[in-house]
Amino acid sequence: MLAKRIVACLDVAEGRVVKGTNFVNLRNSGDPVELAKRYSDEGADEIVFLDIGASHESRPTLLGIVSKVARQVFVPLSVGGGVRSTYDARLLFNAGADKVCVNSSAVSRPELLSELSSAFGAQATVLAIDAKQSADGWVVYVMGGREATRLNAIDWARAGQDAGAGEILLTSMDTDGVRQGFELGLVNEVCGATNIPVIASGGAGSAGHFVDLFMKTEASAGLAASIFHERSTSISSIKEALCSANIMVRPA
Amino acid sequence: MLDRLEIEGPTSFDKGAALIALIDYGAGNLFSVSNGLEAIGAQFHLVRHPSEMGPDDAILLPGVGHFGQMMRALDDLDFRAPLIAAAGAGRPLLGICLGMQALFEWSDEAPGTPGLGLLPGTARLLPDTCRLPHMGWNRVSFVGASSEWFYFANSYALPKNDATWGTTNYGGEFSSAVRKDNLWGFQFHPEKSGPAGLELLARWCFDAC
Repeated sequence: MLAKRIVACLDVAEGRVVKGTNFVNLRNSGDPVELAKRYSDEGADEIVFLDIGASHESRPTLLGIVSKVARQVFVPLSVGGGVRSTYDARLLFNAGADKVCVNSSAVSRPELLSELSSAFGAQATVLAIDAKQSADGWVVYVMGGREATRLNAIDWARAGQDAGAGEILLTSMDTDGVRQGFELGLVNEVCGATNIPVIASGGAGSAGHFVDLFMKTEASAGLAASIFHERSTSISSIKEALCSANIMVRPA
Repeated sequence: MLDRLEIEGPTSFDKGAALIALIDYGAGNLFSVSNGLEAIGAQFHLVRHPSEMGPDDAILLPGVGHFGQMMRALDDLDFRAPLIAAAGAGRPLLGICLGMQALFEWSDEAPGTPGLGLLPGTARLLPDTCRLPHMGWNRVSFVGASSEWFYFANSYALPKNDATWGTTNYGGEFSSAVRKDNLWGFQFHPEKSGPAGLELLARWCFDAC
């Protein structure tokens, strides 16, 4: 049986890992290479590396850092930020990424998903969606949460799957960095609309939040950043809690 | 458990002095496999054309993506006949992920496009009652040994067959590791499966080199 994954996320800007609350007030949380190695050693099932300034500042992802991170980890590495073409993706794969995440660029040009999927396979094509609740439902945001779109997150997830995405990295902007638990309603709606793995992101504050996530939704993975950077909750304690709740995990 | 293998660095693999030819047909992602081989101290070189393969090299065929594209890329670079000949001559050959599927005859992912046909069988789509791709860590139960966790990223897989060495369950059992004479195949990614994966990779290298 497939294990539920615990994913450690590195949001990188100007070469440092940063973390904010609701996508703003970024704090410096450390060196990406050191943190990636620590999380890989501590039993993270996957590492996600997001160059959060890349789309906004229109500069290429920091290939050098990606490569240094990739050399240190022997678990899958997903990389996102500034991927606009198969050429950009190829550079990331050559630097050691196992999957690429696309967000803003897929919204502005949805064919990018099918291009990536044909060139590298659905298993290497991750659609990242940043969603925020509004009176009209879940609205998709781009440019690192700076710009609202007219897209509904549930519809966009389904369209992304149909275009060739093999996984969805779903972040609730409302809960991101708040540490009061995942946005289970959003996760359930996206899982219900798709048949590809969904990584839930935004809101993890304790081991119990991961238990809730996997008991109450069909999410394949739960992602966290700040609780790992600040050592407030360890990967092994999350896995122990999941094990006690009879949720299948790879032992840390 | 698998027979535990002590990993001692490069000297572990010096006995046969065989190199590993890591096949680079342009479509695969070689960074992770190279990084894994470096980590266990294996001696390897990248091979972009059959003429670059040494006569005694062990062969590692990685693969991600689409079966049809992989076979076309191998054919375009004239790898098909030399790989079949090397396998027939008893040279160690390991296929990883799509590289394992390529050892077999066919895949439903690209009907009509033949694999290398070194082992009989056809890769089938995993049950679509499960979320696909089958992505993440799953258990491999090895014949005559207990199970270990490895990382998978596949939608197609080989049913159980005569060469099956390990099986995995995802909406049903499939063949996640094969081993027959000089041919080994892993549907999962040992290079992305932490210490257990590196140990298994080292075990092949030790056996092959």
